Amino acid sequence: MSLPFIFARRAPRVLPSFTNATPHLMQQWRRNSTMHIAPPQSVPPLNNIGIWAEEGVKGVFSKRAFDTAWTNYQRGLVDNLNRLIGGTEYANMTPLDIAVVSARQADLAAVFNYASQAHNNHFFFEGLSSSKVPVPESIMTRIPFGFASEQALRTELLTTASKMFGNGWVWLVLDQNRYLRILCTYNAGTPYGAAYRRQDTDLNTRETLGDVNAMTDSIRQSTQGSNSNWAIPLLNINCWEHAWLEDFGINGKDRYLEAVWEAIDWNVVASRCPVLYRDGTPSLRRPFSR
Amino acid sequence: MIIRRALIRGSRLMQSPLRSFVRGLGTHPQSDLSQGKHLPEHSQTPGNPENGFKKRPIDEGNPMTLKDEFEMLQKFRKSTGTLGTRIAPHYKPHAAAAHPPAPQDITLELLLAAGAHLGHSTSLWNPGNQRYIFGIRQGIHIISLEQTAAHLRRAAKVVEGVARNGGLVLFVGSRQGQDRCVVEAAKRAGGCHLFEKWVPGTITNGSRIVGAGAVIEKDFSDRENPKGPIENADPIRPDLVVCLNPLENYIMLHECASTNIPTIGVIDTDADPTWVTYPIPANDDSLRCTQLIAGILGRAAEAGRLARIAKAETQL
Repeated sequence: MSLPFIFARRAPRVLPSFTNATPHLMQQWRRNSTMHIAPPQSVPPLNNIGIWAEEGVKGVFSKRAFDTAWTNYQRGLVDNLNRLIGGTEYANMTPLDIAVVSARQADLAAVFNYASQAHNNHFFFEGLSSSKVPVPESIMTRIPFGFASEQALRTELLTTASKMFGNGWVWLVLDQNRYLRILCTYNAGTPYGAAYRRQDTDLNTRETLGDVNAMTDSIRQSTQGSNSNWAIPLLNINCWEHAWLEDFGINGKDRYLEAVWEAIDWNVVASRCPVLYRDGTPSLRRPFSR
Repeated sequence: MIIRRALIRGSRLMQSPLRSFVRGLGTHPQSDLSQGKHLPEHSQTPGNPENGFKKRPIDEGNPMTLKDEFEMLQKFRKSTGTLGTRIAPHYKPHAAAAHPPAPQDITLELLLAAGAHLGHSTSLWNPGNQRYIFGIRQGIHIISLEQTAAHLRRAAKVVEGVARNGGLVLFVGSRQGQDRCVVEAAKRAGGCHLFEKWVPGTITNGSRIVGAGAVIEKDFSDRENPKGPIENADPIRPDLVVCLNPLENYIMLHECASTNIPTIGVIDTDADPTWVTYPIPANDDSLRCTQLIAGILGRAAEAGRLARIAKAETQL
């Protein structure tokens, strides 16, 4: 008899027992043992970690800044995540799963923050390249449906990022109608999940002060909606201050954003786009079921 | 209903991966991200005719199909969905049940991780198991994993041999949670399974208990006789019985012994090893352990069955 898999508000903080004969003895063993148990989560590998750890990302991060923004920061996020979820039912879930599961639970706010931030940070660095990558055709075909040109996309994306006040991320997403859209999330906000923790609103910019009109409010609520339909993130830009602080100075956000644009790996971005198979060609071979 | 997890791993109870994916990432049918009500109006056709793009990425009449959604979900789960951390290797029950190891993969570490070494309280032991016990710890007997491995390998050889010679293997596991592994093992072996109560007399009084059925005749390539099942035939008996909980199925084991049917059983420290022909000293209370043993024996039977079929095909 195995323990049922329950999504409880408070996850049980004990290791699952693998025998029914002596459950109380297993708990005693856990308390008495001094065995070192490997942490459930560790820092993931990056494709270009070899070069980047030595020289940093060309134009964007020096070696020192790369250590700050990735090596040490990701390790800190993972260590904190392990501290919170080690031994619980979240221990073997991916950070994205953990973020979605804990999005609506206030007592798991720290778990959400570290998990979501770990995912966002890895997502960002996976989309960088030391050499300039031209925008491939699969992205170029989608740009005209939302923006005047690639230059217009660049301007709008970087302006959105520049005008964000505070830490956060700027995303380029594909919505359900397959339009490219720009989304900004503050702090560790995520574009996934049911938008409970998208954190895309800067309360300073909401038109609530002096504009008290119940009808306006309700119309705004119904059009924006409290939930959101799914969107596919293609790339994101790190707008946390520690990203540009070392190389560009505290006020160098705009120069940093321009440098990030030059370093975006558009092939990775294109690989995140869904591809359609109109002619019925199967994209994945299903294993033959015995 | 909002599903908390964005990515639900391969559960057979999941009705539709599309729905889970869509609901996991959001539920509201109309929203800013999809409709863009508060964003600038987007054109239905591309702004620049020189681009030569005459259609939207998705045709108006051809939205993303279910197949497209599913393929996208699968691709997302394997790539972007795993970003963030590297997860340490861990036990996945569904993966272990669907893809069990083979007899060649038997190691002491595997058995230890499954908890095969944990016996019962020392006061409850059957002294006949003394040769399988390694020692005592915290009041329970610890089964020697070297014994377990050796006996498990022997049992795997027996099962493979029976399957190779066209014998019928019956897998029995009547405890809660053993049904899936027993069915999977029987499927691999091309044999039979039982995960409910054994009706006493199924072998010794077979004509009464199971006599109503028809007997299907198969050749060595597992092809059925085109003339169809044999009506009014005597019920057949298994050629080998694998039992995951002998303590509860003692009647079945007694029937097998009295009719000369060899049996394999998972023998815990409180079980009687003489009840079965080929005991496997291991922990029968651990679901992970019994699923592992059933999986290994199923794989062995599968190997024997495939060898038999291959040999029959070449001799045609």
